[in-house]
Amino acid sequence: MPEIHVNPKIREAEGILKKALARKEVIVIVGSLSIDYVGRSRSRLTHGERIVLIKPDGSILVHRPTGYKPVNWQPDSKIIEVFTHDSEVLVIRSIRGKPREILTMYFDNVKMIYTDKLVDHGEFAMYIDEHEIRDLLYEHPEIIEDGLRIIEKEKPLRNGYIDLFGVDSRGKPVIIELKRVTATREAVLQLYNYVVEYEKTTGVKPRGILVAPSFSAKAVESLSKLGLERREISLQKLWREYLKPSQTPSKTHSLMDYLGKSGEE
Amino acid sequence: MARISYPEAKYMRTIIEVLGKLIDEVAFRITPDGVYVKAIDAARVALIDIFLPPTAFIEYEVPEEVIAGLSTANLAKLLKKVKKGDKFVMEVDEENVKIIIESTIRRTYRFRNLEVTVPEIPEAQLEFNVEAHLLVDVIRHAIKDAEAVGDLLEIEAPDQETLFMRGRGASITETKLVKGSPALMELVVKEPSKSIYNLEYLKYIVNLTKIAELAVLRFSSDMPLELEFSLGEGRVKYLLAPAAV
Repeated sequence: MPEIHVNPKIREAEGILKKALARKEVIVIVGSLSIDYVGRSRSRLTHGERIVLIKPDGSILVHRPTGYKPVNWQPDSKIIEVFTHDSEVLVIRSIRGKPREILTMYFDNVKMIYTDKLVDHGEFAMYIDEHEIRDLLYEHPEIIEDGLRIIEKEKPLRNGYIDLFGVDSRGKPVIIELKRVTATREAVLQLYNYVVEYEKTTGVKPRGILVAPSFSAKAVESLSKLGLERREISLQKLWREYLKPSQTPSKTHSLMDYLGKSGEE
Repeated sequence: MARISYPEAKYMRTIIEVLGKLIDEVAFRITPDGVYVKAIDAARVALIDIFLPPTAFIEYEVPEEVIAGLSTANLAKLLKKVKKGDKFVMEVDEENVKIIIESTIRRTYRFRNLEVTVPEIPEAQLEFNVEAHLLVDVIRHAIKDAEAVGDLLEIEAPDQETLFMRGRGASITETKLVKGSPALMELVVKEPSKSIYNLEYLKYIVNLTKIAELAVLRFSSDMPLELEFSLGEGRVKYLLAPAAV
């Protein structure tokens, strides 16, 4: 159950934090504190009002009221100690084993403490950028159409660069324009301009395919009117099947297979 | 306490940049015989082994062995600003490591001497069937060319005369070297060999080609690749496991 304690006294705060740490809860503390850090280097942050996040895995983040980066942090903690000095100062000390790093926070005022067990089984979806989509389709043109061969990426024309240029199974040139967000009428016109320019330059009418995760109604209408085609792609699927790090590690043997021993630390 | 002074801080920067790609913390083993650094990446795919003899330094006061444990990120940060001709001085005791960059001005940085856990790395007793003495530029260009087409570099020595370096990916790029050419000074092939390596790990050492002129490349079929760069009287050895393809 979530618990919120507003303006707890220093002694009360000590009890609340000890309980929450023992239960391995997520803890958010808002208060006025100074921080000493000793480890890879040495730093001291003088008094100020900040937000401290302590997570059940021992990671700690201290945020100032502005900026997205924490001012101090610990990637993990071996031990987290909580104690008070003369009932006036609340001390939270995180000790990290390897490398040895010690972060000590001295609170002279605690405005709020929030504690709770949070549940998060959500999957993190990584979205890919247009260049990654282009490179992926360059290597796997079958995602767009069976028998399609990509000849060039970023092919220059007088009025711009074609994302992908290829030839279909019947030998007809294909101009492909990619969008990583919903394709609009503007994207259709961009593709159309490339098709017209290519035909003007070479005398051959190419096929034009717009590839995007979705298409606006106006885009669909324009594609049909201009005799162009569309292919819908799922970015999540592309990422999951082709780019997800766990599936595309640099597949390399371990040196230990050749050096004979395990080489454990 | 030990005090060593290296004449060219820029070289040190390049070495630290390469180390930083593999490890977060580095232990310099400073002995009366020279400075040794050995590091292996977390995935145990690549091993770097550095040796700089006392003669590579302009000052070398090392009465007994000391270890300087430092964060590669911190070192890289302070070395970012060094210019050609700046001197790199390191003073080490049990508690602290002082780095001094001497140029027109003198900048001093003090770090805690970190207890860096050095993984136990077995001594490499590898037999290589191919040994090639190359200009480093060739290696740099082969890596850059290969990067343009994919993420693998295939090395092949089919006979006593020829060495190929091919980038493999969506298409293939090939560098052909013939024994006796200025680029390939020496080639010894005990057995025709071909092996493939991950470019991701080879890219890390491209910078070493800026400070070395010659390199010795050793490999065997489906076995690790060893690249040895000479830095004056010192050397950097890079051992890379083959790619699993």
